[in-house]
Amino acid sequence: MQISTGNERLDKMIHGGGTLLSGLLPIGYEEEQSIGAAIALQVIARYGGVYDQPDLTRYVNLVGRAVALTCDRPDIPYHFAVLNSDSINAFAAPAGYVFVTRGLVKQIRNEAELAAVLGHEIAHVSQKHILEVIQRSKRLAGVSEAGLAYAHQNPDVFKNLVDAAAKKLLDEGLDQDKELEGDSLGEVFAARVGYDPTAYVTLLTRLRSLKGDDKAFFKTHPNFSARINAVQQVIQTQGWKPTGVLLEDRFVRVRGKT
Amino acid sequence: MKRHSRLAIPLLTLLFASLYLLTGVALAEIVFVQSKTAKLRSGKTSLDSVVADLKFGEPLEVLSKERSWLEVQTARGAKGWIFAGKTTPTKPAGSEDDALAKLGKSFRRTEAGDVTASAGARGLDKASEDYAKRVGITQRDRDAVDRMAAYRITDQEVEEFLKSGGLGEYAK
Repeated sequence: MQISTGNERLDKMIHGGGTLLSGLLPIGYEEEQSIGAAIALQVIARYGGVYDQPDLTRYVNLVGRAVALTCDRPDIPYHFAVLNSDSINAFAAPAGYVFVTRGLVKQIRNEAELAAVLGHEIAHVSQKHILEVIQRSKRLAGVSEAGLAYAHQNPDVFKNLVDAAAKKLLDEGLDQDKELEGDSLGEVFAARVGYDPTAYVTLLTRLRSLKGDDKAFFKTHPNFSARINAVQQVIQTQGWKPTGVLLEDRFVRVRGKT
Repeated sequence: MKRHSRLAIPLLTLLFASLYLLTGVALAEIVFVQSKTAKLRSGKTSLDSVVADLKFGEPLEVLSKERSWLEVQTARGAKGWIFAGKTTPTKPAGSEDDALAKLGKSFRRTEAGDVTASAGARGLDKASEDYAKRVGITQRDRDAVDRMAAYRITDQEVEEFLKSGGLGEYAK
């Protein structure tokens, strides 16, 4: 599968994100796990806890793991959970914690749409978007570049960093370019697994009708039209056509009365 | 003149041989494995036997293409077919990046005298547990993070899931 978009910046996002960031982040995987778990705590606490439905949990983990196997960072464990919240949203925390709300699951109509949503969040992890936020906010937390690597050993510094990252993630939202990158890569990851590449556009269009174009998830999020355009650009450049691989029956059977 | 002819034949042979080799090299298409799990098969269907398990980022020389499958040869000389969706024309960067991160950590761990193995998922550790207490996260939510991290699904289970859904190389 030729994953070249003809757009140099997008190609770098698809193929070279890890390299671009490798010189920027002195955060090792062990620190990333500490930070990721702490941010995951905040997400769960603020979005109603984890929705405890074993079949759905297993299903979301299977779809998520299938998508994560094809991302640019497949060698870390990814963990998926449904949040017990009616709001329509999804989140990712460092070290592979991925969440989708019960409200968003209700809006999703098939497995291909779910795969794209999870792909978007996996991209935030694989491209280390939130760690980049932490890197930028280290001055606010009073941490030097060298001290960042040891932040998890200092409770005050650690708290400041996690609070700053959680605020950005949960209250303000990531930067627009990171969200569009998540959309483009999520589209690519799901298509690599074999899902219909047009499914994500269908979902984003449905959410735009539901919420209105200027009422996206966060004030800093791009509007739905910009996100749809980003995904359509990937589809057009790749020459992808609808395949009909949506797996609606399997999805509806597991989702049940969620 | 006659002497020139005698020289011309081996020279031309050498020239054509060089051109053939150069052209062959130039035409060789290399792709890389873009999946944590990828199988090299003896034929171009998921029913064909597995020749080898391929590693993420492994380079493959493309010998031929047919629909969604590529006939390839590995650096170790194994030949077979791989589903094209599990390859990419550009070397994936992610694994190298994490290798550097792990290397950096192992250096710091030695420096700090901490020898705890940390390769796998582990949920809450001392730093995140302390954080939970400081900001008042409930025990229920702390347990939820631990359960997330402990949740296990094997690569084989994912493969079976793809198969039952007719996804990727299992497409009907």
